[in-house]
Amino acid sequence: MGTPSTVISKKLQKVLGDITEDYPDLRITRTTESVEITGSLPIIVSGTVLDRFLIEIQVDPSYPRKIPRVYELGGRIPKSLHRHTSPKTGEACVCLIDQWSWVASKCPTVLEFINGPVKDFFLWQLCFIQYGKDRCGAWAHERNGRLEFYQAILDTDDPGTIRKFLLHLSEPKYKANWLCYCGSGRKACKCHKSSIISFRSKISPQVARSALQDIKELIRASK
Amino acid sequence: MSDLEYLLSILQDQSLSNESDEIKMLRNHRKDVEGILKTAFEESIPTIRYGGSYAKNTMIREHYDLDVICYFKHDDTGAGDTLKDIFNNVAEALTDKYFVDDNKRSSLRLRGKGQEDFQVDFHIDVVPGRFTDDKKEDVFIYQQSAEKERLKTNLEKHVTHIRDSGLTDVISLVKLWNTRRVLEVKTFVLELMVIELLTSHKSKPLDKQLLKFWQSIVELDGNVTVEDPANPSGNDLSEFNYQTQQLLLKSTAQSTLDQIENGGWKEVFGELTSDDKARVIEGIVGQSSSRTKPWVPPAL
Repeated sequence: MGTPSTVISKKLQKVLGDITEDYPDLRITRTTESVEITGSLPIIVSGTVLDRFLIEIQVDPSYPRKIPRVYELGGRIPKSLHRHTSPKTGEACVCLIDQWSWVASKCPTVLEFINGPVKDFFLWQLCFIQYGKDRCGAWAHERNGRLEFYQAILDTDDPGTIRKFLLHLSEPKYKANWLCYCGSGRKACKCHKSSIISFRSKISPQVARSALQDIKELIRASK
Repeated sequence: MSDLEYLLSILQDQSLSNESDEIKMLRNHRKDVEGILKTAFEESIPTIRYGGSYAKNTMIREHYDLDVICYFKHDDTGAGDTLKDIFNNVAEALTDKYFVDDNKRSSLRLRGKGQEDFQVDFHIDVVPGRFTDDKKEDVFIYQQSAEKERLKTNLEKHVTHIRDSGLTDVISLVKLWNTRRVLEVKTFVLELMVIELLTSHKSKPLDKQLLKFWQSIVELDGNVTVEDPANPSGNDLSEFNYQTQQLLLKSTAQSTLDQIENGGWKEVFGELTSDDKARVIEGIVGQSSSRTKPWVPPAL
């Protein structure tokens, strides 16, 4: 693994952002495999510190292509699926993979990842602690969560439409001459062209391909 | 608000009253643990008491542990012949109800076993041991993965040394600082260091004591030696003498002093937790569509 070091290069600092400036209680350690950020994370909303969680974030060198692993170290969050934490590894599932692909472009630095998905995850936990149930709306588990996500961004409940949409996104290149996913019968370039191009910039073909597999399985299972 | 008032407010914010949910939960678990152990070792009648920060009056909300000591008589073998046997048998007795984390050197950490509290840390460490003689003062406890398998200690001496030091407030704030900076210095070593470094500063106000503590850390030259008051010559606390731990402690102490100089005490301990927390969280519910949401991937 290599000896941990607190020396951070300029290049790496750019990816991290000024984490310790905003979060002086977080400490950054670099190993040969990743960057680890550990410490007490305050959850602040409208200037109010709602709570603090002891966390560890492991950032892969390929960030943001790979979502960082987040762990709650204080033992406050049960390691269970209904609390979105792995019973096996303790890893917190802060974000749907497709939603991460979507927001990663808005989170070029790890600081933005902490201020975005990590903070949102712990806010969800605080809501759960206060109300004893999910009132902030987590995604459904596994494939159904992915279906919900695409239903939300396309504003449709139809899995067939979503499947066709994902076909467009799965291709390495934009297919202007394919029929549009919306069912209009028109070609994509004459229909939802800008929409498809916009979504392609946010959701990578790899993520779209795996989502397509999951949606196909769901359609198959529902028949 | 003066610096002293601010620090006292932080202490107040961190304090856990006997009516708090946390303490009530700890007490309930202690009752359960006592019941389990007294049933499992009926013939032995173990002594079960509070130890740790609860007994020492240094408990803080952000980092609290309840030590529940379970000591057997010096000539009792009902719980096991050796200290190791006692340690393992106590662990086994607790596993029906708790997930027992036995990775700590001399104690058994209890976590949740049910679906609703799976692996939730209850902040309870059960410390099995055996009195050295019939005076029931000194005790031997088992040490896993240590040079010496047996450690001699004295709970009452530890508790008295810390609780009666006149420095419990500064100890509590140093614990908070240690927790937030994830320095991983053992709490007991930190407590002893505070007492060692501030012995002649007990009459100073809290803010001056803290500044003195961090200044002393920065100025440390060479290894720190702290002695266990329960067994000064016998117990080796030199694990703290690892170079990397001390370097980190010194650099963090320096950066803390810099923060106070540049931005004030709130740079170190932050804002006070708001009473409007519940209202703010309620407001979040209505805004949830704009946030990322948790998920459970397959094969989790």
